[in-house]
Amino acid sequence: MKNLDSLLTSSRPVSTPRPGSSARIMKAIHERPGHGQRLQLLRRLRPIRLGLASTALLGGAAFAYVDIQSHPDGLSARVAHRLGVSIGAKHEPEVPMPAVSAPLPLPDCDSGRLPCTVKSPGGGMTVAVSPDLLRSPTLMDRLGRSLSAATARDRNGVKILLYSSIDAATRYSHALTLFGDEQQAELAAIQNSYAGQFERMGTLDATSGGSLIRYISHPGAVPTTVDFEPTKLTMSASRVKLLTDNHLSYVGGEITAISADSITVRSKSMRLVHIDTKTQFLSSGGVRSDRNGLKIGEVVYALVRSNNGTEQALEVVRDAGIKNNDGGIEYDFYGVDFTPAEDAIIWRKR
Amino acid sequence: MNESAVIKEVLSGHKDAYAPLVDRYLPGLYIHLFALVKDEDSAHDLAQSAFIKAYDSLDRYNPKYRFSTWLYRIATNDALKHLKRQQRIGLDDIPEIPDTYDPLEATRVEQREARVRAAVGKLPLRYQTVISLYYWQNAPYAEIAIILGIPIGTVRTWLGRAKDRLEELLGTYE
Repeated sequence: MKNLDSLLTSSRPVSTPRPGSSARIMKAIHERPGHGQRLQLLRRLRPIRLGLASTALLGGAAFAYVDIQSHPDGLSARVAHRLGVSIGAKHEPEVPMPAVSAPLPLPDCDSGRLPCTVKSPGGGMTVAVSPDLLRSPTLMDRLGRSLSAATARDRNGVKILLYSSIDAATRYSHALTLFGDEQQAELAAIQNSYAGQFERMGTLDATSGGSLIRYISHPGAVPTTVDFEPTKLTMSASRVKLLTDNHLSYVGGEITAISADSITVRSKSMRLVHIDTKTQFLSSGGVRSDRNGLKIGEVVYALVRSNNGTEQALEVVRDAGIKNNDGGIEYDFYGVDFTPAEDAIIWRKR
Repeated sequence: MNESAVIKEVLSGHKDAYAPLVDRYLPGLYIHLFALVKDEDSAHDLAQSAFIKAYDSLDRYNPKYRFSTWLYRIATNDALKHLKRQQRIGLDDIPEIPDTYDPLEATRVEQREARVRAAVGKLPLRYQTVISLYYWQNAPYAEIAIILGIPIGTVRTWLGRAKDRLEELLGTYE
């Protein structure tokens, strides 16, 4: 056989970066915080979903639920906490979490001073919450049936916005998304994909680029509430979940149907993906826990067939469930991650 | 301007100073990643991610090593994670070794090289990685050892075993 060394040397793969690749990288670099101005939270952990139970406004005894995930390495954490929670996210692979059993009093917030600052007992990031916005009738009106929203600043002074809602009619907890300056480029794509289902709440700060979109469960929107036999599963809401992998496209999928044993997702390209949850779930990826030992959820993997006939990865995160203070409704949480570019979340009532 | 000066410039807040590093290393890094993941989109994504990660962590860069070594280490780790994630769900898309043979010499050369690349793609990931770094990136043993976090002796061993396997795979075609 011809000298293998020379064969190998001459067989270097023939492919070159696309024109403009360097420019795109530099554009991404320019959009990042400069050295010394790091926004650890948003850099490391995306997306952040925060659900605030209805008591956040009604009784003053706030309860916050934070679910932080970092894709694709499975970093995930949850904080159950009093409102005003600061999200600690400086260290990998685990997120420093305040103790769930130690509710934070919010004297500053309660006194109405702006902004009130709450420091995380876990040593993480400090955020300042503006209670007037949290209780703003104007904002409440804009949010329709939602119950709470709040602005916050990270320790670098970058504004972020926290938002959640409980659908008063259906009592479903809607998703909350926190966006920072790294997600700006993806917002437009998502909104374009979900015209009519997402509403941009406005840019908070021109320099930081903090922004928020929210899911609007308007009448006629897909998905809507559907009941199924025999388990009476009810789909409550769906929304785009941002993939957190730096290099992946931020596009979303939409749950169009759910039953006891299947999920149907419509991708951005309008392709319908049917997932038989009984036969296509392949294996468990193990239980995720935060550093406090709190079970976060179980990861399972499924295969779906793509439009070109090849099998694609599907990661399903089966959450441990969310205890909703609003009447004690509990939810199973399924995060459906399509790889590489399709992605959706569903919530379903347990 | 040498690399350490460039990096100091970037760390002092001049983001544009990072551009020459991107221009210098992107083509080679892309080839390396493409050799591993065999998908142009993924290779682009991983390359971009590696440059961004390197930028984000630049204040932790150890100038004892070449920037490229550090960059390749980041990129290789990410690529292997990417592939392992695919493997976990059984989506390994290893190309078949072509069995057609064109009489034209130019085509024969192309076919032969394609067969070699396909054969490399049949190797375990660690062997593919050392082949790519050694033969296609011209990285010396010591640098490969740093990139992969393994002893130099292991690099030699892996390369030797990789070539043995390749000879088995390619022998019937020559």
